[in-house]
Order: sequence, then C-alpha cells, then structure tokens
Amino acid sequence: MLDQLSPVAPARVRVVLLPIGQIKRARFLSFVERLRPENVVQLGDISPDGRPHRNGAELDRVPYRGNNRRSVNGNGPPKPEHNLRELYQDLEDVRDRYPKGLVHQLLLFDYVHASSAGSLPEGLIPVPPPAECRRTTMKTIMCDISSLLLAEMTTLAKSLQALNTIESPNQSQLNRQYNGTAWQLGQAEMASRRNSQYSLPGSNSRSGSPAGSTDRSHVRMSMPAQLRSADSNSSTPSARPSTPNNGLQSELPTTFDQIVGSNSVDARNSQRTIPARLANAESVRDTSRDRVPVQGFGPGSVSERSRNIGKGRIGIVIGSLYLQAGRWMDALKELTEAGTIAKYNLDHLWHAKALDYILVSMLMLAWTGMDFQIPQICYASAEKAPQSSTPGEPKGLTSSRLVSLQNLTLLLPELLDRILNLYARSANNTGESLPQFPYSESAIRFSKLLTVIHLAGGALDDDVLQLLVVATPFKKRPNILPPRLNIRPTRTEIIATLFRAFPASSSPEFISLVDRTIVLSGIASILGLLGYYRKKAMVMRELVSVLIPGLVQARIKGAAEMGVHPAAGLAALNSVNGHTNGASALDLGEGDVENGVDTFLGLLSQTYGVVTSAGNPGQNEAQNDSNEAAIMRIMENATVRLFGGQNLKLDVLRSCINLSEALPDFHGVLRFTADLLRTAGSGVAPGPRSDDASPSMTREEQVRLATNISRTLAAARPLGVKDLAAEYWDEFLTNPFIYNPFLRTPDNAAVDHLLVADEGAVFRVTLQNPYEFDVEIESIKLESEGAEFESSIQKTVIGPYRTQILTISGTPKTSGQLKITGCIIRIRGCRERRFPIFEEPWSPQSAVKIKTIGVASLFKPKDRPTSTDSKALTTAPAMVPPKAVSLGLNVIDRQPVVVVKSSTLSQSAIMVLEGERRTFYITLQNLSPNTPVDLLLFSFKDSTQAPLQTALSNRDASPAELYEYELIFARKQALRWAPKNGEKPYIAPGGISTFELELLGKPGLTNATVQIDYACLGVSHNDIQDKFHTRQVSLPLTVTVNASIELARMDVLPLTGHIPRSLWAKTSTEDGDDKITPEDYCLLLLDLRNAWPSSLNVHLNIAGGGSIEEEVLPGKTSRIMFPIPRMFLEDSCAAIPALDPSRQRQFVVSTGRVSADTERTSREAFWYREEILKILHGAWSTKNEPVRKGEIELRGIRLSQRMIEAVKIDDIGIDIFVGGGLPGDFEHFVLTDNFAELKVKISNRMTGPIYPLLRIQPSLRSQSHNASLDLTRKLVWNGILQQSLPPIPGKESIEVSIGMTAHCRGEFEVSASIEEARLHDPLHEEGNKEGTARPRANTRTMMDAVLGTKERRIWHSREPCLIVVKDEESSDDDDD
Amino acid sequence: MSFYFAIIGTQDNPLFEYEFGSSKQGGDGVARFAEQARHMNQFIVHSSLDIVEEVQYLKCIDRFYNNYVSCFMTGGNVKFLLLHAPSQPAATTTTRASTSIAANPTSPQTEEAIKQFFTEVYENWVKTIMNPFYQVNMEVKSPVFKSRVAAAGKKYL
Repeated sequence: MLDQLSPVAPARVRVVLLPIGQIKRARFLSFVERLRPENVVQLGDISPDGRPHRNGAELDRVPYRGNNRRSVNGNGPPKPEHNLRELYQDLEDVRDRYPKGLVHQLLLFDYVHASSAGSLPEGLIPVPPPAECRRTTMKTIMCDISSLLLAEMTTLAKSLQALNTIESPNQSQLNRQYNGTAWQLGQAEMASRRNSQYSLPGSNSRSGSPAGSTDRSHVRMSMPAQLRSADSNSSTPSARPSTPNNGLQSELPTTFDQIVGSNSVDARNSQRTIPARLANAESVRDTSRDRVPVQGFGPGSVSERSRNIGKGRIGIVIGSLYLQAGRWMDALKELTEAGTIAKYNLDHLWHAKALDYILVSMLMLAWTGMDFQIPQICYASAEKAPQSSTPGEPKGLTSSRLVSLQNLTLLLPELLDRILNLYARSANNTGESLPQFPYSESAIRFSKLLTVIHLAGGALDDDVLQLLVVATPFKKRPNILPPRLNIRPTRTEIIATLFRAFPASSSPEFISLVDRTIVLSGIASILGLLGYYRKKAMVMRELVSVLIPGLVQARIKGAAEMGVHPAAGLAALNSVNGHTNGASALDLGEGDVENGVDTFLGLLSQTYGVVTSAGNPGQNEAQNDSNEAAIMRIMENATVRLFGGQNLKLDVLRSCINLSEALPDFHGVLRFTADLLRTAGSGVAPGPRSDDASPSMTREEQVRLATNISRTLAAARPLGVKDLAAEYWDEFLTNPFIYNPFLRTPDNAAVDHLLVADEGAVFRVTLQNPYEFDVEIESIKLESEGAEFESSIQKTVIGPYRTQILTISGTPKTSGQLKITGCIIRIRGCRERRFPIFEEPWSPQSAVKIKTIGVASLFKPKDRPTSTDSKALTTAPAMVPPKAVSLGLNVIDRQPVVVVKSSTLSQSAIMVLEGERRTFYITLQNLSPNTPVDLLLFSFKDSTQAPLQTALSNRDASPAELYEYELIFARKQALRWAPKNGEKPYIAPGGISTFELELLGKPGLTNATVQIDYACLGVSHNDIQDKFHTRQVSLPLTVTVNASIELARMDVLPLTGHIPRSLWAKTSTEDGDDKITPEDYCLLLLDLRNAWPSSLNVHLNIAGGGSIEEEVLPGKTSRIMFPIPRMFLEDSCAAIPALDPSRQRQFVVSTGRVSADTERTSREAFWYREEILKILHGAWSTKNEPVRKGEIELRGIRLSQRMIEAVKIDDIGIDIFVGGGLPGDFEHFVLTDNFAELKVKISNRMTGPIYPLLRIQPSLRSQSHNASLDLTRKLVWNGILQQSLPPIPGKESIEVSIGMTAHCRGEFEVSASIEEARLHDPLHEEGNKEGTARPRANTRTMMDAVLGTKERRIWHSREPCLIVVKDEESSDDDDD
Repeated sequence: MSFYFAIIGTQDNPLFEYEFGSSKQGGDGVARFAEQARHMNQFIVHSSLDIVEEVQYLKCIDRFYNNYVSCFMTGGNVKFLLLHAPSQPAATTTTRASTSIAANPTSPQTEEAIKQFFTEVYENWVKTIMNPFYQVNMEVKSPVFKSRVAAAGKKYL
C-alpha cells in the first residue's frame, strides 16, 4: 500500500478493493498481489492524445468481512458456476452503497469468458488465471479502468464548472452525525466518507444534479478523506452493518441537503474532525442553514468578492482534478490562476490549498523529468508586490528544470511554512477554519517532504522524487547518526514543522481517536526517518495511550452487541471470529498482531532501553539457548539495564502491557510482563554476601505481574491459543549449580567425577529467585552432552527471594565422557528453555570509558551491519562476562555390584593365639544381573598397621629397629588371601563365589578390615589401557589374639674343654662320629614360657642339626639348651639393609650420635642374630582338642657383646701345635731337652690380604702372671718370637715354625697373636697400579664412614696351646 | 512557573532529578505540575535528548505543549535539562510584553536566568563528580549537591 501521508498523495487516485461473494482471505490477497504491480498507469497508454502523463493509482484493499456485499472495483469469486447475473446484482449493490465512487468495476478472477456466451454485463471484467495471462493482460485491464475513470472525471469537471461557488468545509453537518463516543464517531465518519467517495457515477446522483457531481469531485480532491477511508476500512471494518449509522450513510447520497452539505472539497475533512475552536458557533447551525449559501446563490445577491471567491474555488477544484488525471501542466496553470484569485480575496484556506496542489504538481512534473516554472504566487516577496502580473504567468524564472528544482529546494521551507500559516490564519474567517486533522495531515506531508530532502543531503534530486512519488527507497541508507547541522533544512526546523501536526489537546472531542492515531503514527514515522528515536518513542507512547481506551471501549461494545459481558466476551468473540460482524471490530488478523503490534511495541520499548529477552523486537525465530547466546544476552541486558531511566522503562512497559491486554494480544501480554519483570530485576547472580538482587519494584506489583501471567494463560487456554509462552526473566535462574553425587561435600568437586553407566546419580541444583513471588517450575531436567544421559524430571516451587536447592537424579546410559551443561527448565507460563550453569556470583560493572552517547548505543548494531572490524573494536565488552561452567563427568562401563553374602566367622569375630594361622572363608555375591566381576583385589587393614607406621616414621629409630618393623609389616601381614592354584577371581552375573583368607595372630591385633576392590574390565588384565576403576566392598573383623609360647630369655655360651655327651645327643640325630668341638660350636640357651592355660608342645628345629621336642606346662618356663655351630661372617659390619625400596636412603646419618664402636657392635649383633634366626625355627602345638598350632616368635632374641663373641669365628685363625701333632689337639707332649718344633698356622678367612706381625707368647701354666713369664732355664727357642710375616692373601693360610726345647718338666702354654703390620688399602694399591685412575667415592665407603677410620687390628689365639713336658723314661736321665 | 531539572548521563540515564518552582515574583519555590503532567516530565525531557545531541547550546531547545526544555551540555557529554512549564499557558503573542520569568519562558530575561542557573549548577556538578568514588554515569545522590541546586534555583529562577 502506498504511503497515505505521502507528500504527493493528492495526485493519486484511490482504489478500494472489495471481495464479492465467498472468498478466502488468502485467496483474495493473492488477487490483490496480482493487481498491485500495475499501480502506475501511463496516461499515454490509455488516452488517444498520447500525452506522456502518468496516473498514480493506489490500490487499497478492504479486508474480508461478513458474507454479503463488498466490492468497488472489486474482485469476483473464482467460481465459474457463480451466476453472472448475481454478480452484477452485487455490483449494483456496491454502487448503491458507495455512490460517490467514480468508477465501479467487478473483476472476475481466474475466469475466462467464452465469447460464445455473449457479452458480460456492464462493469464486469474477466481476468484469466495467471497461466493464461500475457504479460500485458493485467496492464491492459488497468488501462481500461483508467480510461473509464478519465471519462468520468471529464464529466465531473464539466459539471463543476457550472457551479458558482463551493462551500468551505466545516463541522456542522458532522455534528449532526457524531453522536456518542469517539469510537462511534470514527465509525460514522467512515461510513459517511464512504458514501461521499463512492457515489455511483453513472446513475442516480451524477446524472441529475450538479450538486451531486460536485460532491464527487470533492471526493477526489480531498486527499485526507480518501486516506481516512482506506485506513479505517482496513483497521476497523467493524460494526457498521449493525449500527444505526447504516441508516445515515444510506440517507446521505439520496438527500439533496446532505449532498450539498458534504459538497465542498474539504467537506470530508470537516466530516472527519470534531468541533474545532469555532465549534460552538458552528454547532448550532444545521444542515439547512449550511445549504443557504448554496441555494441562495444567485446573480445580484452576492458581492463581487463572493463571486470571485467562488470562481477561485471552482478553479482550484478543477485543478485538483487535473492533478489526479495526470495533466499536471494543466493543473499547474489552473491552480495558479485560481490560487491568485483566492489570495487576493483573502480566502486563506483555499489559497493554501492551491499552493499545496501547486507544489504537488511541480513535484510530479519534476518526477517525469519535464521542465516547469515556479509560479510567482509561490514567492512571498511577490505576494507583497501590488498587483504584479496575471496569475500563473512565469516571471523572471529560468526554464531549466534543474534550476527550477534548485529554486524549489530553496523555496520549500519558507513555502511550506507559509502554507501552514495560511491554514492557521483561515481560522480568522468565520466558518473557514481548517479542522485539526487535515491541518495535521498537511503538516506531516510537508515534514515528510522536508525530511526526504534532508536525508538526501539537502538536494531535491531524482532519487528524492522517486522516493516521494513511487516510494523507491534510497539506494544507500542515509547515515543519520552524526550531527547534520549544515544540511538545510535542518532537522530542528523539520521538527518544528512536524510538531505543528501534533494534536494540540488530548481531549477526544477535539480530534477523533482514529484521526489522532493516524496523525501520531505519521509523526512517529517521520521522526524515525530523521533518527530522532526518543522523540519518536514519546509520540509512540502517546499513541499507545490513545489506543488503549479506544480498544477497551471497542471491546466492551463488541461484547455488548453479542450480549455477553465484556470480560467474558473475550473468549466468545475470538471463537466466533469471522462469523460475526460485531466481533470483527477486534479482528486483527494473525499477521497484524504478530508483525505489526509486536514490532511496534518492541521498538517503542527498545528506545527507552527496556531490558528484553529478544535481541530484536518482534522476532519470532527460535530462541538460542546456548551458553554463548545466554552470556551474550546477559551482557546485552546488563548494558541496556544501565541505559536510560528506570521509571521510564517501567512506565513504557506498563503501557505496552495495557495495550496488549486491550487488543487482546496474549503473546504481547506475556512478553511485556516478562520484560517488565526482567527490567525491574537486577540482572545479577548474587553471591553469598554481596549484591542486593532484589528488583526495583514493589512487592505488590511483582505479585500482581506474576498473577497476571497465570491469569493470561488461564484466559488464553479456553480460546485455544497455542504456543503461548513468556520468556523467563532471570538468566541466572540456575546459579550456582553444584554437582554432588552421593551427596559428598563440594570440595571434592575438583576430582574427576565418575559415574557408572546405568546407575543413578544424584545432582544438586541451586535455583535462585530474586523476585517476591513464588516461581512455579513445571519441569526441570538436566541437559548433557557426550554420553547418553537420562535425567529425571522434577517440579518444584521456588519461594520468594531465595535460592533453593533441588536434587535431581539422572542415569547415564552409555560410557564415555559426559558433560552436564545446564538445565532445561519450564516455568509455569514460560517457554521451556535451557539455562546454563553459573557458579560464580556476577554483577555487571559499569563501563569506565564512554564509547557511545545516547540511543546510538542501542541502535548501532542495526545501523552498521557490515563493518565487522570496527564492531570488534567498539563492542569489546568493558565488563567481564559471567562464566558458564559445565560439569565434566566420566561415565564408565557398567560395573557389577558385589556384596559380602556371608563369612565363616560368627559375628565377624575370631580368636587366635599368637603366631597361629587360621583360615576362614568369605562368600561374595554379584548382584548385577548382567555384569560379571572379573577383577578382584584383596587388601587388608588391621589395628597393628597404624602403630607400625608410626614407628616407621620415627626418625630416631635405629636401622636395626626399622628393619624389624619393616619385616613385620611386609612379611607378617595379619591377613592375606590365599588363592588356590590357578584360581581366577571371577563372579558370574548374579553368582556367588567363596574366597579363602588367612589370619595370623599378632600381638596388638584387635580388629581388621577386608577390603575387596572389584570391577568388570571386560578385557584381560594385560590389555588394560591407562586406568580402570574399581568399587570396593569391605568386611570388618574383630580379632582377639591370646598369648601362647613366649621367649622369656636367651643366652649364648661358648663351649670350652670337653663337652658332655648329653649335649652331643641333642645336636643331631646322626651318629656320634661327628664330634662337636668347642672350636665349632657354642651353646644356645632359650627360656620358653607357656602363657596359654593348657600345655603346649614346643618343637624347635635347627638347620642341619636336628630338632628338639619339649612339653611346656601352662604358666611354666622351660629352658632348652642345645649347641649350635659357630659362624663366620665375612662382613659383619655391613650396613643394615632396608626392605622397603622406597625407604632406601642414600645417605644415612646415624642420628643417635653413636660412636663408631657402638655402631659396629650393633651391626655385628644384627647380622649374627639374623644368622641365628636363619637356622632356628620354632613351632608349638596344643596337645588337646581343639588342635591349634603356630609358630614361636623367636625374633625377640637380642645378642649382647659376650654372646657375639661366643658365636662368632674370628677373621684370622691361629692354630698353634707342636710338630707331629695336629692343630686340634688339646695337649701336646714334648720330652725334656728334646728338640721340638712349634708350629703356628695362620689362616686368613677374609677375602683381602693381610700383613701380619706374629707374636708368640710362651708362658708357664698355672702360675701367676709375673712368674709365668719367667722362662729362664725352662724353655728355650731357636728364632725370634716376634716376627713379621709375608702378606697372606685372602682365604689362604701359612705356617710358621720355630725350634723349641724345654729344659724342665711341666706344663707350658703358648699363645699367639697376630697384629696387622699395616693396613691393607685396596684403593691405594689399585691407584698405584692404574696410576691415573681417579679414586672414586663409592657409596659403600661413604656408609662405612660411620664406623670410623680403619685401624690396625689384633687377633689373639682363642685358646693357648698346652704343652706338657715330660722326662724321657730312661734315656733322658742317662743323657743328663 | 514550575521547573523540573534533570541531569542525564551518556546512556540516557538520569543522574539527578529535581523539581522546584519559581521563587521570583512572589513564587514560593514549590513545583506545581498537574499530576498528569508531572508524570510526563520525564518523557518530555527524554525525548528532547534527540535534539540536544545535535545542538550544542542550549537555551530553549524543545517544547511539548506548554512545556519548555532548556539544556546545557557539559564537556563530558552529560546533559542538564530543565523543563519549565509556565503557570498559565503562554497565551501566544499577545503576552509577549511580559518579561517575568514565571510568565514567559522564552523571554531574554528567562534565558539569561536559566543560563546563570546552569552555570552555577555546572560548577557544583564538576565539584561533585570529582569525588574519587564517583564513576561515570553514576547517579548523584549527594544531598549537598541537591541543596546547591535548590539554592541555585532559588537564586535565579
């Protein structure tokens, strides 16, 4: 539809399309679409004289309503069977109905008229279906109609010229009609206008009276009226048929009085208006008085001036006819002449009208590209000149079109201002005052003209003309953001002109509601063009406030007609939509509601910075709920929230809600209610302590809004309105959102969460509601990515102003990574949508720097769609966006669930004796129906572990102690699993399996736990990639450990001299051949005590040396003695090892600050004890039932230095004997004065060589120390007793002999000692050999450092050699 | 004459609002807006911003019915808007002779008074926003500033 308020609107011909017969709305619209492209008709195509004029014909449509008559130039139904006669009858009806229309035609769409069927009735034109149409078919039809129109116009013009004068418009006749409310006025107006416009051309009214034809001419001339009719037709086709107004409209054309009354050009204007400033005076006049001037018009009865005025007025009307017929040159000429007459007769109203039309003519001429001249009358300066020239005569003007255009541009502001002033001044002539509506309309048209010129940069060029006449938009959208101060006309001037159109008073009597609506929307559209968004917003808001009461009234009225209560009537009206005329008052088409009202209100609220959910107002596209979109929305909302004044926003939104309710538009109500809540809200995610999140609105209003939503829903439901949902108003609904499976504490959140497929988990969702009313959540479920996940659906109610925690369970269906990304929540009355998770509190910070000023920040993105670079720069958010988090979960394959079904222990308790091993069984059951257990790991905890761990971590513990602890810890677990051979842990789904466990009695064991980790791997253990997950089931046990055999004391004694046979018997079962000698054996003595109240058998086993059985009575101690072999240790001072590799420390510093000697001793004690324990093994058993047996803990033995000496074999062995004897002999017999050879055998048991220094010490036996050494004359020897020997390599021995002769009888003892002459230094020697090899500090030497430096050592012979000297029996004496 | 004074930030957000009446010619300094008109004041002032951003000064920049809007723009693009509504509708040209501030909103005397008022408010404004805790576009709630504005209104208008 072409712009009704276009500056060139007076040059257009109005066409109204009406459907005839039964036809669907969509079909009708499709026909309209076919006609629409042909809305410009070349005058040359129709008229025989071929002048290149054009005729702008505007297509207007009248919506489908009711079922009987509607058509002016109407569309016929597509049914071929429809009786043509009937159609013609319909056409006649239309003619009756709209008698002022110049041409009535009926178009039969999709109908091919067979020529054989005879000619169609007059006024019917067939239109073939599109397939059979040539390109020019439609055009030809339009040309035919136009030709008819021109013919009618000619007739009309001729009849007009016969008139004497034409009355100026006034309100009187309207007053008669306008009774009742403003709304009814609007109806009536429309009806009357229609009457005047569409009077039947050919028949009744035209033929007879010139007045009738005058009437018709006026129809054409007055633009506003036609506009009005079109507009009101489309928007309010309502109650006309059923109201009494019907009668009025039918009266009008038939009564001469009324025709006269509505005669004049502006009569229609006056009809439309409500009593103006002069209303009081005029309202008393009635139709008959109006008629007086016309009727009484006769020669001689009026003055010359009156005659002139009449002449001028008729000229202007004729000119306007020319204008519409497309003969603009003629129009210009006619109007200039007539305008001059009006001017000199001070007929201001008509003068202004003439100027107006002249301007339009010039624009049309310029548009066709023809030369024209600006008439003198347009110039204000010429106006003052006295009687200069004949009107219409060009004076001092160039004929060039371009120059004319330029001049016109310069002239325009002043000219338009003058026209408006003339309109205003017409009020001075009684009865000539221009009503508000046409005045406003003119102001808007002029403003629009100026605006277009302004947008084009101040020039009136071809683009501007195209835009003005055929609404071709500018190729490039003008940039209206920067100030345009130097473009004339300036925006300020335009605004000043425009606001003259603003209705001066808001009272409904002054200007009717419908007119006010048109004026306001016209103003708003121009303000929008100028980029004055805020002014536009205010005008729009004014418009809304005007619309609301009108709509409400219409609703009440419509309901009353249906006989229902207004409130209840809402439903009824809509349900019978389209079948009742009364209801159609409210029948905005679906398209109208969604596209028009929504966008309109959205734009209005956007200007004020209303925080809305939709990025663009009125958009219907699916809402994007992704994280990015949500964050973007939050950021936008935050920016917008900072913008503008809160009061204004709330006020505007309330207006929007009211309008939506009045319409009624349920979507609108919901949307704006939600937006209002959103705007009032603070838009923050409050932290625990910070930020006041309460909305800036009273509690009462919030509650009212909330109920409003539910009320709207309740009202909409019975009407069958579908898809009704508001957008929830708080983006932070789910905040924070903490996942908490199995209700663990939140600090585990960092851990990689595990879920098992097909098993439920519980999630915790925290929801916030900063508003003061309950939010009812109809459904809430979790949204996930990755692995398949099924969430349960919950419903809840969040109380006012609080955060609320909700638990939701969910079940992952497959294994893999799972991400919980948000919640899908449906709040009662709102769209189901997704809410991302925001854990952190967030509130917007205001920008530090100012990037944009004013509304530019709101409208910018739309104005610059392409410049991405600068956008990236400028929209870089000054504030930190809230972070949406997601919850990462790892879902593993289905896992079995295993329980301990039973165990062989009663009440999970067991009693054992120390050292006793007991076995028991536990039975596990796999509860899962289809998942086997193929991995079972047993681990144990018991009460002895903790003290051991403590002891192990004690830094003061000596290495020997640590070794002991570790040994107990590692080798003597209280519990262990004893798998049978080849047993593979496996439990079939639903099956059971039994496992054997072993318990060892240990002191300090009071309780223990069996922990069984199990899993279903599905693959063999070797194929396991990275990690796997297990579950654990545990069985606690209570253990009582009673004492059994205790080692009370032990000792090691050296054996000397003869060993009793009884001892031998104990050593071995073998024959006594293997004699034990004091050299090789020592005696071990153990005291064992029986702490168990029944006697126990003790069994001791000595490696390689038989065994001993002994019965120990309860509470008694029995001593067991037996020889054990002495032992040689190559390196008795080796460091004490650590069993646990992780405890192996490189540098051990003895923290006890013990001396090297002590250290050496403790190491010796350790190693010899280890040796003893190796060969010794003890066990006990009960003699009676129940049979118990166990091991004796022998590790309690401690060796003192003396015991070590007893058990140890020295590094160097010294055997002294006399030649001929054996080294092991106890005593050697030597004869006096005989030569004997004393031999000393030195064996080096070490691995390294030694440099020995031998000292032999003979002495007298059984003498005091002093006396024993006095060997003078008793014993002589040949050689030296102290000598240095050559080095003895490792593991070798040498013998040294020395001659000896005893001079007396008796017993001598010879002992010997070996002293190291010098230290053997392997490194040193090696260094000597290698020369260059660098001495290396190896760990061993470092560790030995704790033993101190190596010193020379001395070994003594263990026992002296006893030499018994006897006299030779006989010969000896002789010899002496 | 009744006045409605507003300071508008760069985001169209009101930073400060104050209503008062004329103290000249025996006025008592109390604003006498009709109830409906008072409601509209914010809207009128808001709509005037369109013009303010284009015109640098200032005087009477806009009118809506009987409401006149004067403006002053600071260097930081903060706008001072003063809406003044004469007590009686300024009855066209006939009362032009009247130079009283209360009666004629467009007379040079009124313009001058408003200009002085703005200048004084501007001085106080600069002092106020130099507060280190003040951020751009933040609402001014200082009672001191309010009293100074009131004093300036009393002095000049």
